Amino acid sequence: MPHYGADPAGFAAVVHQSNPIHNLRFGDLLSMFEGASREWPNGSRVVLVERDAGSAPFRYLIGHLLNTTPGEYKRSLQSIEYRGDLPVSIKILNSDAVACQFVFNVPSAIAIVETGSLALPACGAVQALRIDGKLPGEEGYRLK
Amino acid sequence: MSLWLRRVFVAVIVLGAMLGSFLGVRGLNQAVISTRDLYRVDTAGSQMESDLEYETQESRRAFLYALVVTDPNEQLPYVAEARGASQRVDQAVKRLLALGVPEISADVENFERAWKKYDQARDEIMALILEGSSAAAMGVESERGKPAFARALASLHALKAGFEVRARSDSLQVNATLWRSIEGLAAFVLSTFLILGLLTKANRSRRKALESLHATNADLDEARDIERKRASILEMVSTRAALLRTLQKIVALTSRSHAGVGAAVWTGNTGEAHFQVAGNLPQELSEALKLHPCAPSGPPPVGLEQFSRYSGTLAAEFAFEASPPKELREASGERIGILQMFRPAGLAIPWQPMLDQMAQLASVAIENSLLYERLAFQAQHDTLTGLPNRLLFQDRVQQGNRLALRHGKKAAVIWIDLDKFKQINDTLGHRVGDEVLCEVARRLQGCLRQSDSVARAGGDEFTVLAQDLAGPGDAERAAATILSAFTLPLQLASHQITIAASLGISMFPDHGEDPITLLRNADIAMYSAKRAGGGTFRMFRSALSDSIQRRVLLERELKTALERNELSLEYQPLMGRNGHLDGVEALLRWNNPEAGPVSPSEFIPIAEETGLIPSIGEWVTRTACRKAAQWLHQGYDVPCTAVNVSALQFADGKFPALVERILRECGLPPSRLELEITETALMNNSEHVIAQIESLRRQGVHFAIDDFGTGYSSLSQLQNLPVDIVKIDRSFIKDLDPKAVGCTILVRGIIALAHNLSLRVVAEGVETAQQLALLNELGCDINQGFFLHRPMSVEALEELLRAKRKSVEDLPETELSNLVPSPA
Repeated sequence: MPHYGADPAGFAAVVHQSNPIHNLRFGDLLSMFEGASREWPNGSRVVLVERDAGSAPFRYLIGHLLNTTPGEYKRSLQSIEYRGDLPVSIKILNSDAVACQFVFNVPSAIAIVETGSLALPACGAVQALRIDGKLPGEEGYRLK
Repeated sequence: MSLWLRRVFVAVIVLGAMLGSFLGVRGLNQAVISTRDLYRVDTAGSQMESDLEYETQESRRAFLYALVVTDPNEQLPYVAEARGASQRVDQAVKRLLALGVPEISADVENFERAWKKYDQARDEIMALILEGSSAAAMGVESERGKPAFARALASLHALKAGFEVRARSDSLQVNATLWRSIEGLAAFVLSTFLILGLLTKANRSRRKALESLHATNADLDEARDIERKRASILEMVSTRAALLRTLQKIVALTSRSHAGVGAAVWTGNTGEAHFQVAGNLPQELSEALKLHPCAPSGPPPVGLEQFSRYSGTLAAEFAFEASPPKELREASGERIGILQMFRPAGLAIPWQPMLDQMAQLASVAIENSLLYERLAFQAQHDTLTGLPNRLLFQDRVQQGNRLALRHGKKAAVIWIDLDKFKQINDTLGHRVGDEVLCEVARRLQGCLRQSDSVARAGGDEFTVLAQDLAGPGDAERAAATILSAFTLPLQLASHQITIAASLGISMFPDHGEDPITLLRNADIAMYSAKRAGGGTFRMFRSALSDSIQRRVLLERELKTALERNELSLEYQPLMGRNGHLDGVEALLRWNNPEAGPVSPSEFIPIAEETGLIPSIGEWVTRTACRKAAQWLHQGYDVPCTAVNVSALQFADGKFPALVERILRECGLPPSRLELEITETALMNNSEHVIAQIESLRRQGVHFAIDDFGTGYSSLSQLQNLPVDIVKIDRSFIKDLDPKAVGCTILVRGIIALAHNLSLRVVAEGVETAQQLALLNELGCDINQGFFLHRPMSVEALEELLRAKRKSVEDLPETELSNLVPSPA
């Protein structure tokens, strides 16, 4: 497992070990979580795994990445469903460990967890994606 | 059963036991291995199979729970549980495969394949459920999940059935192994019992052997102790310890073997028994044994049976039993003592071993004691007469002299020489001579006082020490007494012989102060008596003639002259009428360091009187013959060698055989030896001597009558004498003078008569040319004398011979053949 440093403020995007995508552009990541991009290149449906509303990953996702509010974000996703498009599959999980477990069991899932949680056993069986070619902890990494 | 058979039996049993033990141990080992396999494969396998079934169900159960829950946060624990169970299923499968049991491998692999398919379906379903695609999930579940799980379960059941078969098979195998191990164990136990039995028996035997060994060791210790005492006793014997002390040690041996047993020893030959010691017996019994009838103080000697009876009765009085008396004998078989053992009545111990052992030791001790006594006696006594010898006599003279000095008395040494004793020996033999000497010893002892001592000085000579004398008169009276002891004839077993003696007396301290001087002077005085005709005595006088002393000296020295190589031969040539060497006469010479050169006319009579002439004559004959043979081999012309012989050499009748042996040894032809015997000797021993002369003449030896004319035989007797040569005595030749008609007529007559009898004539003592010329004129065949040649040494003669060498090739063939010594 790569060393990601100990930046508590950092976050990581994790996917299933079998996922062929290892590097993701920052914009694609945002696109996935905004609901604009809902399929992986192999055609499988993207399952977004998000943390509960009070958690740091959720706050980071809403406040920093999507720069919105939880309500606005909810409504944005609902609008997609109302448009008749394929609804965005979002799973809200109570902890990073559970989030990792989910990703572990669902090959098309992607989750954002704190970088520090990557050391948890449950997160050992998932892969952290390079964002714009950078792993967590590396200079220029964007999810922090 | 013999020892080797027993050993073979034991070896077979031990081998059987070892084989049984081996089989037992091997069976046990197999049982352990089988049981371990059973546990490892069946027990562990069954456990794994159970785990597998459990985890399979658990996985399925968790999965189903996940299906019915909709919240992912609740679903995920079930998903994780299902995955965990599934992982444990995988691990259980791996463990089952790791068992390496061929019978179940296929079933396990089938299950594994089925389970993987189920696993994939389940993961897919779970992913769908987590995504929220419940309908799709249920579709996959019914389409693939459930059937896959059913197949996995079927495989699992098949695996379980395979395990059961396998377990039954293993059970049977374990049972079989157990039976084998039971058999092995039984064999092992049986073997162990057998080995233990054998070991117990061996141990018992060993214990018995050890007990026996201990007993033997005890016996050995006792035997060694007795042996040490035996060695100690033998050492006492060898170191000449007192006999009584040695015998005490021997009888003490009885207590070593049996307490209360004692012994007693008596010494003495047949008919005698002198009590010596008693050991380990009550004092009263010991004292009583001293008074045994066989003791010197008791009644006359009794037989062994009576001895035994008396001892038995005596012992019974003291509650003892007596063994049969054991006679102690020396090597010659003569009895030297008696040994008897005594034991308390009723004590049953064997007599014989101890009796034999003690008897052997006692015999050795007594025999050695007797031997030492005899040796001590023999060292100081004459073996023939039992009288003290010269050594002891000298000691007694020494003591007598001291006594005489202390008491102011005189002592006398009397030397006694039997007159004509040699004739007795020569005519009647040595056995009679010995009888005479023993009888003389008895008479001398009988006629002397208790304080006087008589000894045998050697040969026919005795010495007497008369002590406590007032003066020479007493000594002369003692000598007269001795002479009177010979007046009566000696009564021997086969003869009655009258004998006389010559006595010489020397007085202490007048004629000497030491035994040697006194004896020598008594000897000189004895010669004086002998010269006076014998049968008388003479007192030593310092004025006794030197001739007697010289005679004593010569007689003493002549006895060892041969041993000291003091005798030698010179040779005087005998010349024929034509001047050639006709032979040589061997002449005996004696050169003594003390007496100087001694004339034969002086020492030959002494040799004849002292009996030395046969040995001296033999030496002369052998030496002359050896030299004559040597000359012959060297080619010297010595036709004949003449040797003088004494009539005494014919005395024992063995002279012809002696001469023949010498000739044979030297390889000299008999014809080259001429023996000369005096006319007197020939006449005195006519028949006895003549027979031997004729015997030798028949062998070819020549005989000459020596000193012819000095005897008393008439000329007419010449024809009866068995001689080849007549040697006219030098006294006739000395007076031979052409003017002295009488003497010439006598010589002429002898020569003529000899020639008429075919005898050759030798003239002795030819000292002048006139004598030689006249002898030649008278027809004398051979001449001998200073005028021609003086007697000369061998070397001088050989020088002369070399000048007149005559080749040995000229010798007749017959003589040449005789030159080779015969094998004898």
